[in-house]
Amino acid sequence: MTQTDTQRSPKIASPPPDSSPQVPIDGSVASSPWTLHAWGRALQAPGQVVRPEKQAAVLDALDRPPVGSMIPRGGGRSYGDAALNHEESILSSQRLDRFVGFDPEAGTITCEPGVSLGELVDHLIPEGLLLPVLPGTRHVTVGGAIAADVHGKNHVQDGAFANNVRRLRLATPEGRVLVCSRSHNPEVFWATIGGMGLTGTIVTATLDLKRVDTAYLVRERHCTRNLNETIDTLAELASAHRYAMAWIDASSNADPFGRGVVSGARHAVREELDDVNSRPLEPKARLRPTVPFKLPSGSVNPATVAAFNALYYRLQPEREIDQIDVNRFFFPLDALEEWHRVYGSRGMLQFQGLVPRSEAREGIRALLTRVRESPLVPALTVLKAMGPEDRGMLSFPMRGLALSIDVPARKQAPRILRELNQICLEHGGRVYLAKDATLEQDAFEAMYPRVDRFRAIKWGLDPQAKMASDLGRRLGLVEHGDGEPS
Amino acid sequence: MSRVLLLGGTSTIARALTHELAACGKDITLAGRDRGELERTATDTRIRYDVDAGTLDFRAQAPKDHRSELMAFLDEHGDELEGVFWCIGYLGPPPSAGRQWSHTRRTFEVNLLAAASALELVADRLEAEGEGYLCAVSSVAGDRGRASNYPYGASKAGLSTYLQGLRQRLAPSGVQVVTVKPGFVDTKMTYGDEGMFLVASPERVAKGMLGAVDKGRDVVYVPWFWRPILFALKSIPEPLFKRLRL
Repeated sequence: MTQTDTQRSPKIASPPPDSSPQVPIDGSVASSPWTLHAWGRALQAPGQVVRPEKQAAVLDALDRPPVGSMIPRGGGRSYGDAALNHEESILSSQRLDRFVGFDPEAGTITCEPGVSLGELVDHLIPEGLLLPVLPGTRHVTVGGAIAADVHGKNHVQDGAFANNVRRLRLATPEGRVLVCSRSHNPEVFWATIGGMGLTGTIVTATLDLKRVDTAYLVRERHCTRNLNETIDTLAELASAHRYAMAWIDASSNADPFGRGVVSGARHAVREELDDVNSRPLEPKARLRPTVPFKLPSGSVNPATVAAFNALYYRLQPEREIDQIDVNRFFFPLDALEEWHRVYGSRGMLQFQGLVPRSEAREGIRALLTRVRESPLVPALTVLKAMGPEDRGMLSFPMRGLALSIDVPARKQAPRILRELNQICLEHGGRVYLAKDATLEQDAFEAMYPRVDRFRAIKWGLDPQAKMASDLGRRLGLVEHGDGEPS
Repeated sequence: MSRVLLLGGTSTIARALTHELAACGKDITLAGRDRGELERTATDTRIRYDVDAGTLDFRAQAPKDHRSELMAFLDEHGDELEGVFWCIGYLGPPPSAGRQWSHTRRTFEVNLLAAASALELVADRLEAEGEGYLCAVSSVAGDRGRASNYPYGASKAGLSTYLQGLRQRLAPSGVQVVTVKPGFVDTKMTYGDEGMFLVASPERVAKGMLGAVDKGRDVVYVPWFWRPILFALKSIPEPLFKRLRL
């Protein structure tokens, strides 16, 4: 199985035209100055990037970062500042991308943190195996998936990425390598899962796999006419199918409000495959069109979005069942590489928050209404059903409905996103840190009641605050608050 | 099954070569001094591709040891050995006044002496087999000595000339000797260095190297544009060149 150029291409733009190599800072570890971006390209920060290729070099980097504190960075797919560390150090896992062990019978695989989930899927599917939980893009790395405790369209039935993780080895900034699992160093395990890279860096992770019969899923899609129908249909499909999600037309003139397309899917078995497909474990070849250059900043605007949404909605059959391969189903965002370029040089931001089950309907309606009445352009709006909370101290999912809205990063966007954060909080919900760029510390602390436990673990592992990021500082996870480390 | 030996198995270029070769079904032996890292890469290769991948101890600066290890390997695997890549190199700091000798000495011991030591053994074996190839990573730095890296450049110049002679010696036997001269490559050797330009990815260099072997080339610049650049550089008369700051 060959590594394609894109899979092995730099996960940090190399070299980005908007950064000029400066004099490297004198340190014991080779580093290179880059300007790093958030995935939506709305945020950027210069930093010194260390790119180890050997495990010993990882430990050296943790011990002697080139400047200041350090944050690990994988695929750079966070939409906010989770993997930015302004004028301090970044630990890139780009070249820590080896498989370390694979046991197809037992259904486990162990790998370094820089392996991308797409690479994993490509390797596993021909063996009739798959990760139980996958997020919407293949370019997230294993390390990043653990750090954000990512989730997919099957959270109700299969939980978040934590459920893929049997064990991990964490290198701490104090020079220890800890084996962590549910039974071994569990507090460190649950602080690291969802811990946004602030507890240390993952050396290897062992993941549990599930068996699949084919590389295809059977998908059912329904058009819905208004928000209530969308929410009801989503609930129905989420209980009947393993995977479910709803696309919503949130543009302001969408009539009726909250119409959408809800889909549910399950894995297909060999017997039911459409084509005379003699190779059921082979997904269709991926074409990889890309957006070759940044579109002008105003390209994504209320008119274009409304037009696109209306057309998309009209093209959907009322109700349809079809078959779709794993790559197209799990990674729809990757259908167009570099798709963020449609947002031009200002880039995009995303609101992703959830509202707990009891308040879900009102909460989602309140959020969508606020967006509708604002100057924000909701370019892509998705709703997912979420299952119960797990033990990740800063993990996002809990039972309820999660709403994601992509918006061009106009000047008013951060202010309105903060209002959405507030609406979310008022309904007892919370915001997803991997997408967040606007949450303030007090709102964050109200949303994540286990934050004090996280801080205690982090300070125990990292008394000198060597692991930090722009997100970590913004949310008050780095400084030792009132002076004393625990 | 045919096997390829990569001397310097933990080098960035060797890792890229390993992917390409294993994807083509070649068995791989990775030789170097960092056993743990070599094993990790070998394991990754075995998992991803359906080939055998093993390791061999090779310490460039311990010729007695590496010669006996290498001879033992060649005895055991000589008949399945399709080719050998030399991917070992040491790039010290830019020469400056002061305690320079340890770096310079290491540069020559690793880049030239160890190469001559290993390649001589490999050459003998391949010559006896009457087929195979030897592909070594030299450098454009060997084409002309510059103040900023003349020990490295000299060692690579020595290597290139050694390979040239070896090529002539082995030509009648059907054994190929390929000299690869990369420019700047994005590896751990150069990461963070300033003043680099036209930097190539290790993947591109690996593909270039394998292409050269396949096409029976002798000396290749990778990427191709370094050939005209070095031609121009070599054409500068010495009285002028010595005054440049390079």
